[in-house]
Amino acid sequence: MAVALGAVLAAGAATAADLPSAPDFALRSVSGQNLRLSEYRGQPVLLTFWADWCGTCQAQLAELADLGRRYAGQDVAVLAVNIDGADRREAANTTASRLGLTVLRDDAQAVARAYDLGTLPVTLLVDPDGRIRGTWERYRPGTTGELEAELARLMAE
Amino acid sequence: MRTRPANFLPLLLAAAVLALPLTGGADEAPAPAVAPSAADATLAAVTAGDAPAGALDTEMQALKDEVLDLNQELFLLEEELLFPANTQVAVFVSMDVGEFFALDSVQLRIDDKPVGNYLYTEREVQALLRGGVHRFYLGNLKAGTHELTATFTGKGPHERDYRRGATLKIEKGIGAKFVELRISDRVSKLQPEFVVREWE
Repeated sequence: MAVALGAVLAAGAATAADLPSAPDFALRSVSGQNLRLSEYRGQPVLLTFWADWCGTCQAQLAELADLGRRYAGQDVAVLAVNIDGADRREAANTTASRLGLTVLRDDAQAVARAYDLGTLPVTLLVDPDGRIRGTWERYRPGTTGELEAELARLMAE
Repeated sequence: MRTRPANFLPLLLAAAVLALPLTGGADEAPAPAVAPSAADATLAAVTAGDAPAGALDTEMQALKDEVLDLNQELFLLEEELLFPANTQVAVFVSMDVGEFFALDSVQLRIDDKPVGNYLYTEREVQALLRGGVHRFYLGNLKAGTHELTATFTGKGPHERDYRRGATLKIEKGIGAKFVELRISDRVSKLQPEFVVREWE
């Protein structure tokens, strides 16, 4: 999907207004705060969905945490949505503290359904207007590089 | 099949944009009967390029205002269509003081059926504390007696987890029904108070 979306943007056939809106949601973070996606309007958001049982998710999370640190002063938010369920909250807590990420718990997987996830990990770049600029499914070396390049393009606009 | 009026928005916006040159043309010179030459086209392009930026900004602003007005009208129309007054029920959440209760979420059941569950962020709680009112639910109910049960969760006095319910029986008539879920402080008991009441 990311490749297709990138191609469309490059061809100039789509404007920002044509991009799909990221479904809004509110979730509780592992630190106990309630966070709503729409409250991040005005800044780019990297939204990633992950589960503890997904091995490649951990690699993706580590790279996103690193990316988040590098863009810390530039108003880029990194939100990691954990879909493990209420019985595996400890995993989300551990990852949050280990990587210093904002981890949100989607215990009922309602947000995962709203985003129609077919695989894990899935990472989305949401632009400051709340539109989905790109989606990267699964993890492979280089995914974060592509994501960062798109983020840099977005921030340069 | 009922068509949502919001679907018409792009169409109407397009119509508004198309209509703009037509309405603006009333004050302009009549269109030439023959096709303009290349030189005329160049002259027209230069003239358009020389148009003061301020005038364009004003026109753009006027267009934006029109779009916003149109959007608001469509929104109201949509609500009237989807939630006609004879079946409409709206539930609002408000908060007063909030010294003894930090709101986390509200769940609403109507006739024992869950119809809403809302997680409040810090910013939303602050807005409520400043006097804001949140429209929590908008739906349709047939005439008759209905029971609304709201469950509030959050932190109570001494940072303890707090969960309370409040119930109200309402009589739905032919007009729209507005219900308020109000959280306030009962200073005498140093406890929060949860009230479900109808707006007259």
